[in-house]
Amino acid sequence: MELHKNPDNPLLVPSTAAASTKGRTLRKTNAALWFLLPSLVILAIFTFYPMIMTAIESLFSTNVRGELAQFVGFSNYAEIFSDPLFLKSLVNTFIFVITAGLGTIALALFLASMVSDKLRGNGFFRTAFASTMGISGAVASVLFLFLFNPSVGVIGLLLKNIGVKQNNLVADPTGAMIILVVVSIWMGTGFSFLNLLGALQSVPDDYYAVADLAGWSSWQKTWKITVPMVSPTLFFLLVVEIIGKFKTFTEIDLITGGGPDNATNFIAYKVYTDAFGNRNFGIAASEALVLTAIIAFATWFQFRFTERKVYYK
Amino acid sequence: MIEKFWHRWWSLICATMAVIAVIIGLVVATTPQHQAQASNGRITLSFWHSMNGPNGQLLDKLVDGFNKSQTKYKVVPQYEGSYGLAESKYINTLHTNVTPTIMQQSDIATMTAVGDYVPVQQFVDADHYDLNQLYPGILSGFKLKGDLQSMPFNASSSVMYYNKDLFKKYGVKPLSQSPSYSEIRAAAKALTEKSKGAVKGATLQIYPWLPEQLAANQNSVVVNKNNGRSSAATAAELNTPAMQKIFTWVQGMIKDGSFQNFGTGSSASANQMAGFLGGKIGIFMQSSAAAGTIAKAAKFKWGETFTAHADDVPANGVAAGGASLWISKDKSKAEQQGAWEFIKYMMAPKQQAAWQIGTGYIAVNKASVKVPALAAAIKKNPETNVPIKQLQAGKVNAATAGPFLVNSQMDQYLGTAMQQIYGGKDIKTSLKEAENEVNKGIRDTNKSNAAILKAVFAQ
Amino acid sequence: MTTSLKHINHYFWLTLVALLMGAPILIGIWASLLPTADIAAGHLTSTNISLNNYIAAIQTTPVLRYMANSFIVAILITAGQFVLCTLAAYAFAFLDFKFKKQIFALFLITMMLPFEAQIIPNFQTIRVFGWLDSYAGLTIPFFASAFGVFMLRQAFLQVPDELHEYSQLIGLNHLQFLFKIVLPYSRSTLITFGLYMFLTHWNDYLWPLITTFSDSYRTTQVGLKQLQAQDTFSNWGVIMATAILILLPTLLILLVGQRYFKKGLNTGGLKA
Repeated sequence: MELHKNPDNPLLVPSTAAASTKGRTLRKTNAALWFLLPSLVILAIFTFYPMIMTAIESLFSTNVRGELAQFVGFSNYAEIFSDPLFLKSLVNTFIFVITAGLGTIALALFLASMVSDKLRGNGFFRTAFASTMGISGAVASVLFLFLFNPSVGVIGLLLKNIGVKQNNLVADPTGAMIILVVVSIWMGTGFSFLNLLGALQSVPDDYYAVADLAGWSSWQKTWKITVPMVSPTLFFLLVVEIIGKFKTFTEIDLITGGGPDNATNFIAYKVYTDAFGNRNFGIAASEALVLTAIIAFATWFQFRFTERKVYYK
Repeated sequence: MIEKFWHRWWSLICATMAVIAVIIGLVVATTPQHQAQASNGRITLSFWHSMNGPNGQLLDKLVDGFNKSQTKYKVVPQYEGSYGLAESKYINTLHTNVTPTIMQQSDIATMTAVGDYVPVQQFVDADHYDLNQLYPGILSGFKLKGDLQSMPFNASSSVMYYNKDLFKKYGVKPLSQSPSYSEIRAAAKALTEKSKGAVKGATLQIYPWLPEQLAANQNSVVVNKNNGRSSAATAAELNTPAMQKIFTWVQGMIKDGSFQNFGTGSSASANQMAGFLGGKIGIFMQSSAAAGTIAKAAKFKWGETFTAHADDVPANGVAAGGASLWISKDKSKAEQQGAWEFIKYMMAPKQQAAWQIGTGYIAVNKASVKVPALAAAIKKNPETNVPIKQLQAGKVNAATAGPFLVNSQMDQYLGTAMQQIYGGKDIKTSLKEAENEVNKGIRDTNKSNAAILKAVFAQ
Repeated sequence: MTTSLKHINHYFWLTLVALLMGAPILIGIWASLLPTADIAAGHLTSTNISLNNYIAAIQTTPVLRYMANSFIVAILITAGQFVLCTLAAYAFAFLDFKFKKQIFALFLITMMLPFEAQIIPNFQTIRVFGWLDSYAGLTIPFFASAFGVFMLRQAFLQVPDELHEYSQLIGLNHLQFLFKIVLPYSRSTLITFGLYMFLTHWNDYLWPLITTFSDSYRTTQVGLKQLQAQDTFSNWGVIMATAILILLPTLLILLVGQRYFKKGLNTGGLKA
């Protein structure tokens, strides 16, 4: 049959497609098992089993060979929450996540509002602004390491010329944090930008036309039309960015190594160093579960408030 | 465009993807694990090391030489990051398809505690290999109950490097063979001031091995129980007068504005080297094994001196640094024999001489100095011999034996303390905090590894 | 202010912002064309441009091998996910079965669990399977994707009921229906999905970092770290050239696939 050659054939595609899942299921079947089994097997082995094992390992101490040594109950948790290093890591992670998350969205909103109207040439700039979207953390790290290098980098030399004494930002706790925030914002902007652009463009022109008739100022239009219309997208992006930034790893590994003075030893990185550097799997597992709790909460929050908009639009 | 293409070929694409997936599945399911037997009948020996830069390139060349010298074995070298990272990888992958046959590692204590190796002594005895051809002072650190556990392939000591051209240009007196802290501070200050800030006088990388060496040079241990040599260490000794003197010296240079802090992170060490090679740094301290890189890339005259010593303490000497080669237990007899043949080749006078010339590591074989190439190199530049002279001049005691500490978190916390101190925090507070953290780590380690440690120290 | 002046003003600021955003890449490309000696001396305005760094990168580093590995890994994962997610999404979109809601919730839950929290046991699993340092270890753990299932299910639900009924009328079985109607109908989502997954896994870092031990299997992103670690005196020219080489496929995909990404964002919410 030639059906697939033209799926848009109006004879075949009715204008009103019913959306109910139940309605479209014409016969009950056991075939579902075969369709689901491959995914379920992989998920069981590489997602559910490891989550359970992480929980179990968090109750054990680890010996020098990386083997579980003895059951210690919840003392790993007691230890990490009384460890100033872990608490510092948590606090710094939150500072980073919030600064970088808000920064990303603010920059993306600024860029999107600059190119949202249908002026000629805006298409080019849209492509340019979106182009940081798929750049990997490793490449971004190398690019920025060069920029911030104290003796040869453009920014490093600029800092030196304006008289900054410690122009090697990586060696300074605040400076290292700033670099990571800048890299994170730069990398994240493309994605948020595309989303916000879509949201801005989907605000019907009629609304503004009506507002013009009513004699609203542009300030009123922004606050009474634009903001309410894009706020669901803003909220969705905020949660997504926050979740993503909690998982920041590559840039830390390549730019700061968690330092100086643990200023950038964020939680996802600490899990890695404790597990694969210090081979203390028990401690690392309990830290990993704290990370899981934070991310699971954020994701649940997102599902709860954006489920309809995002998935069932 | 894609859509049109898809339109025409979608079924083919889907089918191909499905077929690829199935094939891969089958391939994967039937893939034999990393095989020891290579296609041309040679036994493949994987060799993990931590040599980077020009040193790594020379190592590859030496390995190549071994592979060409015989037809039975093929050694495949793999750079696995720093000693610390390589050790973690090694332990995390014991008894798997990737376990190396030959492992280069510096952390003798942890390797011994993990214990998954065949002591080199067994091959020495079976082969009647003459250990007297190697420097006994270097061998002693790798012996347990008199038996050699692993072969010290790359031995080094810490030295101070300085840019002679810069010293001359700004009229600063060259460093003496065994400079004191104040001598270095004065030189650094003069360099910085006379160059109007274009040159930073000195740096000391945030690399815990350096203060450990500086402490040893003041006859100070870093853990108790004679640096953990007489029995398992139970406490760190970081907040000591020796350590305090080191960092008072550093903070003094920071105050002078003559000190460059390169920070942490994966490129700190390379940035330090780039700074020195670019003529932006006057003096820095590093393993003698950095000489290879400098010799290759420096476009100026440079010098090498003994490790700096505190003004009121005569130089005690430093611990031999570097690493040794270990033979994995978890391998066939044939592979282990191959590993031994490889080690013998690497320890021969010719290879060790080439190694010293190219890298700045100390040739462990006594006969190497008679190899014409090395003899000529030393004659041309007597400073090539500073690292071994320093070891020979040093006293033999607990401090110069170096710390023996299993599963040490010393590096991590001493490193943090250095970062804090460089950032201006009080020296004693930072050292005390680091000491407490390391002590906690030692207690946990001793508790979780009681049986293992008992076996290590059962003499 | 006249309209044209306003426009010039607008474009001026846009160009400035675009240059700022693009600066890291542009400067990186520029540096990759300069000799390291010039960069180290601070002569960024040097005119000794050449492709020598690229030649050096290709000849003296295994960057091509890393790129081949990443390509294989990303293609395998994309193919694997394509098969597994299609099947699961089909079940959720067209079939009725017991515990459908619960199983769907199970998929949902996996999206809340960060991979970072699973790396320790997953590493141990791969180790027991003998999959360390292998394509299997790099790819198979990622074959199932709850996100992919969602995205495809969402697309499949757009297939009109009438088509489904018609196909049953003429006696198509599940696979025929899937291949002849559902997949062609959802092609735009499938392309988005494929490009997105390829890009995501081309950029993988943490997992290859802990499970690869040789250049035979090391992928680009961790290869970059490896090259950086092997470098002892900041050979900027070659490092930049390597980074740009690794970046090229990414930029290519972004350019070719941009409208699919945009569409995907509007309908499915990528990166969820």
